[in-house]
Amino acid sequence: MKHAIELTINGKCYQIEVEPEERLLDVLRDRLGLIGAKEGCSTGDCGACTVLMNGQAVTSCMILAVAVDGADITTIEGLEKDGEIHPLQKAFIEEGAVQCGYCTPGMILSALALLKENPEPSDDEIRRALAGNLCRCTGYTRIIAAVKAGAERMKNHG
Amino acid sequence: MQFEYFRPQSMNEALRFLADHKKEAMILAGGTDVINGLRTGKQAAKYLVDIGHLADMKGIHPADDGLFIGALAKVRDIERSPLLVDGWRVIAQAAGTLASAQIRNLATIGGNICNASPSADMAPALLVLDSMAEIAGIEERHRVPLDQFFKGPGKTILAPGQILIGFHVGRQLPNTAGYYIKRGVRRAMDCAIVGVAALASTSDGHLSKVRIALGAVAPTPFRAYKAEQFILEQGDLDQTTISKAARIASEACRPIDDVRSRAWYRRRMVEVETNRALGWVAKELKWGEG
Amino acid sequence: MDDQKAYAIVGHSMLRPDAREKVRGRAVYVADFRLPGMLFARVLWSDRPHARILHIDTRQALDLPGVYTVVTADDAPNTRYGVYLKDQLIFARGKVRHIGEPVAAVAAESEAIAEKAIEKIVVQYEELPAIFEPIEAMKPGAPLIHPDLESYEATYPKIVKGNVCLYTRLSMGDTEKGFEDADYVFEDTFKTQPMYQGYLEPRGAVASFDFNDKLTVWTSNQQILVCQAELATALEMPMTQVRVIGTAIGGAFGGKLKTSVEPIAALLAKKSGRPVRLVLTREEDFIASRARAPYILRLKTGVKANGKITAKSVELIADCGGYSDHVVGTMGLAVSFSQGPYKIPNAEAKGYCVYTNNPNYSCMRAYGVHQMCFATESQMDIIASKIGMDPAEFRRRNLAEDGDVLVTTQPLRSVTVDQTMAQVLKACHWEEKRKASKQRGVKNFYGIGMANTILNMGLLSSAAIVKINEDGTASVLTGAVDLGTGNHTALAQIAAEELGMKPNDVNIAAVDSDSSPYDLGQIASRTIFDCGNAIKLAANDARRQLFATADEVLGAEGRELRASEGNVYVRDEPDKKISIRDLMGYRLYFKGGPIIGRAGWLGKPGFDHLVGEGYPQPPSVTFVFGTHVAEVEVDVGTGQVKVERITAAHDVGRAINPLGVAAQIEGGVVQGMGYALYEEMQIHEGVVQNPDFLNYRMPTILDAPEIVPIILEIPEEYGPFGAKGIGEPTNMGPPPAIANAIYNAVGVRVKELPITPERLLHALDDKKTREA
Ligand code: FES
Ligand code: FES
Repeated sequence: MKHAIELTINGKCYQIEVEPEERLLDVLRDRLGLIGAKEGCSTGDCGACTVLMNGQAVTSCMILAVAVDGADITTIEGLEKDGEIHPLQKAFIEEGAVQCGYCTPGMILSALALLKENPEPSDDEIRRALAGNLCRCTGYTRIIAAVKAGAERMKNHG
Repeated sequence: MQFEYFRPQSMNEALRFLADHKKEAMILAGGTDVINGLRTGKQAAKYLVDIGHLADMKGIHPADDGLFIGALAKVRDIERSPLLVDGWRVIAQAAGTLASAQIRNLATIGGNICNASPSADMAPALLVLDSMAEIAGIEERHRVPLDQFFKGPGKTILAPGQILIGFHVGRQLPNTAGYYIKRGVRRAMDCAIVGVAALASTSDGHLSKVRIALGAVAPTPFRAYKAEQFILEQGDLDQTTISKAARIASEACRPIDDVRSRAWYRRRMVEVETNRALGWVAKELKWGEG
Repeated sequence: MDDQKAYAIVGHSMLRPDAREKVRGRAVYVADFRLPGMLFARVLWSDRPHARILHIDTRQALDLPGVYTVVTADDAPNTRYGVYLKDQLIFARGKVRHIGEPVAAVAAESEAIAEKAIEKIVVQYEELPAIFEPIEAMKPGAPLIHPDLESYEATYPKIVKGNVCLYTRLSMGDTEKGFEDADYVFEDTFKTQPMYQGYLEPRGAVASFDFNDKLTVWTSNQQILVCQAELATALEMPMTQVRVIGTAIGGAFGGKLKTSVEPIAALLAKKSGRPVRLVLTREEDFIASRARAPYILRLKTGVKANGKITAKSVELIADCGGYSDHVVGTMGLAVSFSQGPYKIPNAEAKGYCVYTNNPNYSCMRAYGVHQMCFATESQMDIIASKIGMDPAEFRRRNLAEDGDVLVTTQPLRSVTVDQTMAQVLKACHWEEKRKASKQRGVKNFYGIGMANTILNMGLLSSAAIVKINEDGTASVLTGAVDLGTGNHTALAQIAAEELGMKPNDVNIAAVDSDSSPYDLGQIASRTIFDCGNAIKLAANDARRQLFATADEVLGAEGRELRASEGNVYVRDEPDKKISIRDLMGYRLYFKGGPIIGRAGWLGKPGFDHLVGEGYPQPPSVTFVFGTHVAEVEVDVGTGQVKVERITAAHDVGRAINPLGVAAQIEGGVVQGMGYALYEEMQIHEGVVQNPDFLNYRMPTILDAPEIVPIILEIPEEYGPFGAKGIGEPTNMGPPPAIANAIYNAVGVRVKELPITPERLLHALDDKKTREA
C-alpha cells in the first residue's frame, strides 16, 4: 500500500506517494533526481548517502521514507545559494580534498552538521564527526584541512 | 523486503495493534537495525509498527528515584545529555562509542537493547547502573532488572505484543565513577569485540558498590557477579585486587570465534580491559590516595 | 637536468576542475545514469565453490510480471577470453568454479522485481570436490578446476600442469655458489591476504543496442579501450559495433579492469531490446570481486658478515581462485622485482599461479610487487637485526645502482633509491629515533621502521590527438579516464605547457571508444608516463603546425618561436606575437586548414630479451623508487597498533601537479596501512565471511596517521617533462615499514598480513614463552 508523505527538501515542499519499503535515499535519487546522495554500501557503514535531516547528519539508506513524513531534508544540492556554492564546498575544492568524489557529498554534509554545532572544531572533533564517512582515495589529511578552512570561510561569511 | 506500514497515534493504539497481530508485527523505532535486517532477509514481518514518534517514550527525564530514559531516546542525545553526569556519565560515554554520528542520530537506546546483540554498546553501561527496563503490554506494565531482559543473541523476554518503554536508572551515590571500554580493531565504526563497563561507589572511604558488565563475550551482555563479589570481599581497588577480579571476569565469559575475533582473544581482552576500566574507576575515585 | 623554473604550468600545483561538479553532487556515475525505457538487472551468482550445473530453470522467473528477460550461458558465445590466459566466460557453462561466478541474470522493470526473479531461478547442481588451499591444489591428484587448461590460449609461453596455470622461473648468476659464499643464510615464509579494493562506487554498467545492432556501454571501467576489445571478443562482435564510454569513476585501484559486469549488461540489453543498467550491491561487489590475490612467499637470502647479500632465491605461490584473471601478470612482476631495489649478484625466482575454488582473485594497486615488497623489506630487517646492523645501514650496503641487473636480466636505470632513503631518514630523524627509548607508559611501546620500494614504470601503448579549436583553445582526445586521481588535470597541464596555452584552455575530452585513441588504461601508474608522453608528443605535433603558420604570419624567418598563455611570439623579439586564436582564424579561413596533432607511444626500454621460462610480462621502460618510514605505538596488552606517522619519499621524476602527487601519496599510504593492519577478505571454504564495510575494515578518518609526503624530482629521460608515475608505489611501503616498526617497538616479527591485534598478541605470547 502506498502512503502519502510530505517532505521539505532543500527548502521546497514535496508531496510524494511512497511504498513502505522505499528508503529516503531511493526517494531522493530515483524520484527527485537528487543524485548527490550516493549509495556506497546500503548498510549504514560508509556515509556516502549522508544527508541532513532536521539539521542532523543521517545515513539516508537507513531511513524508510514513510517513517520521516514531515521531515526537513537538506541534500548536497541544497547547499548552493543564488548559483554560489557554499563556503565549505569551496574549501573542499581548494584544499584538494576531492579525488573520485564519491564520498564527497556525504563528507561535506557531515562536516556541515558539525560546523553548525561547533564552528571551531579541533582536529579530533572533526575526526569523530566524520568517522562514519569512508574515503578510499584521499587518506583524509586534506579532508580535515578542508573542514578547517571551511570553518574559517563560514565565519567570514557571517 | 515487503511489509505493510502502520503508525499508531498513541501507545495504546500501538499496544492494541501489537496484541492483535502478535508475531506478524515488528516494531520500528530508529530503524538502523530493522532496515538492515529486513533488507538482507534476516528478518521478516507482515506489519512494521512505527512507534518512533510516541512522545511518552522519548527523551531523558529526571524522576523521583533517579532517571527515566525513554526507549526512543536517540543515542546521540544520550551522548550529549547534560543530565548524564557523575555516576550516570558512563551511559553517555558508551553512547559515544556506537557506530557513526549519522547512525547515532537515528538509533535509539531501546532499539540497541531490544536488538539484543551480544555486542550492544548500551547494554554494559545500563547494566552497571542496575537499570530496570519498563515493559508495557496491552493489559499491564512492569519493570524488570535489565540483566534479566536478554535471553540470547537477538532474543529478549519481550513477548509478542509487548513494548520496551524505557529504562529507570537509580540515583547513584555521590562518589561514583563508571567507565566503558569498547575494544574494536578500527578506532571507529566497529562492533565491539569486547565491551567492558565498570563502576564503583565509595562512601566514607569504603567501597560500597562495584559493578562490572561485559558485552560481546557471551550470548548476551551480562554482569560479572563473581568478579564484583570478589572486589567487595577484598574491600579494595588496589592493583592486585583489580587484576584478580579481571581474571575472574574473564573466566566468567563464554566467547565465540566469529568473523570479528577469536574466542581466545576476546577472553584475553576481557581481562585486559576489565583491568583498565577498573583502574580508571579507581583513579577517578582517588582510591588509595589517602 | 631541466630547469624547473623554465616551465610555466608543469610543476605548479593546480586545482582540479572536476572537483566543482563533485562537491556539488553533480558528477554522473554509473548508478546515476538513466536512459528512457531502461531496465534494471540483477545477477544470480554461484553459491557453490565447485559444482556441475545439471539444469537451470528460468521459467518461473520469466513468468513474474515486470520481468523482461533472463540470460544464461546459453545466450552467450562460447568464446573464452582473458588478459593473459583465456579461461573465462561471461556465464558459467557446464560448471561453476567459485562462489560469486555469474550463472544467470535478469532484466526487469525495477531492481526489486529483478531481485525477486533471481530468487525464482532454479539451478540444479551436482557438487564437485572443492579445494581452497593452493598448496593442496598443486598436489598430484587434486581435483582439477580447469580440466581443459592445456587447450586454453595464452599470451605467454604457457607452462601449466594440473591446477598450476602459470609456472615461471628466472635466474641470474650462480645461486648455489652465492649461498655457499654466505656467512648466514636466512629462510623465511611470508603470507599475504586477499585485499578488496574498496572503491566507494560499486561496479556497474549501462548497456544499450541501437537499431543497427551497435552496442554502447557506459561504465566506470579503468581501461575503456581494453574493455571495448574484451567485450568484442566475449560477444563475438567486431570492435566497430562496440562502443564504450567512460562515466565518472568512484575509485578503482585495480578492481575495475578489463570487463566484469559489462558483458552481462550487454547480453541482457541485446535479448530484451532495451537499455539495461546493472549496478552491483556492495555485498555482490565483494562476493564477485577481483581482490588482490593472496600470496605465499618463501625467501632464502645469503649474506656475508659484512652485510653484503650474496644470493637470494624466492618461491612464490599465488592463489588465483577460480580464474586466472590478472594474477598471472602479478606473478610476472613479483618475480621480476624479487630482489627489491638491491644489488644481488646471484638470484633465482620461481612463481606458481594456482587455481582453487576461492573467489576470482586478481590485482590491486602495485600488482604483485606489493606482496613481494612486504616479504623482501620484512626480511631485510630480519637480516639486519640478526647481523647486528642498523636496517638503514644494511640496506645502504646493498642498494642497487644504474646498470645492476634484475633477475629478469634487465639492467636497472634511473635508480634513485639512495636519495629517497637519504631524504626520508633525515626528515624523520631516524638515527635519534632508532636509539630513543621504546617504552611509553606501562603497556605502550614506540617503534620506527622503514621500507624501500621499487616498481616498473611504463607499460605498453597510449595515443593522443590534440585538436586546436577555432578560439585558440585545445581539446585532447585520449583513452585515459580519470579514476579520481586527478590525472586529467595533470594531463591538461602537460598539453598546456607544450602548447603554450593556459591550462584552463585545454580540455581533456570524455573517453569514448568511438573517438578516443588507444590507451591501455589507468593501471600500472602509467597514465602520466605513457599517456603523458603521447599527449606531449601530440601537442608538440600541433605546435609544430602552429609555429609553421606563425613563422609565416609573423615573418619570423625561421627564428626561434615560443608560445605562452595562448600567444606565439618570436623568442628574441617578444613584441612580434600573435594569438593562437588569430593563428587558427588564419589557418581555417585562409591558409593551412585545421590543426590536428597526433601521436602514438609505445614505451621502449631499449632492452627486449628477457630470459626466463614461462614469463608473462613485457620488460619495464624504466623504474620508480621510494622509501617509507612508519612510526607506531604498540599496546602490548591488546596487540593494538597505532600508526602515528608515515613519512613517504617518492621520486616522481617531475611532479607535474605537486598537489596531486601529495594527494596520491596520502591516499596510498592509508590504503597500505589498511592492508598492513586491518583489511582482509576472510574466506572460509570459498565463502566471503565479511562482505560489508562493517566487518571488512577499511581505515576511517580516526585511524589515519599523520602523513608527511616528500616529493623528489630527479628528471627521467623517458618521462614527459621528466615525470614518472606515482599511483602505486605509495601503498607498497606501509605494510613492511609498519611490520618493521612493530619489530623495533616490541621485538616481535609478524610474517603474515594483516597484523591484527590478535596475531600480534599471539606473537608476543610466543616470544614470552620462548624467553621463559
Ligand atoms: S550507503 Fe548509506 S551508509 Fe553507505
Ligand atoms: S574521494 Fe574517492 S572515496 Fe573519497
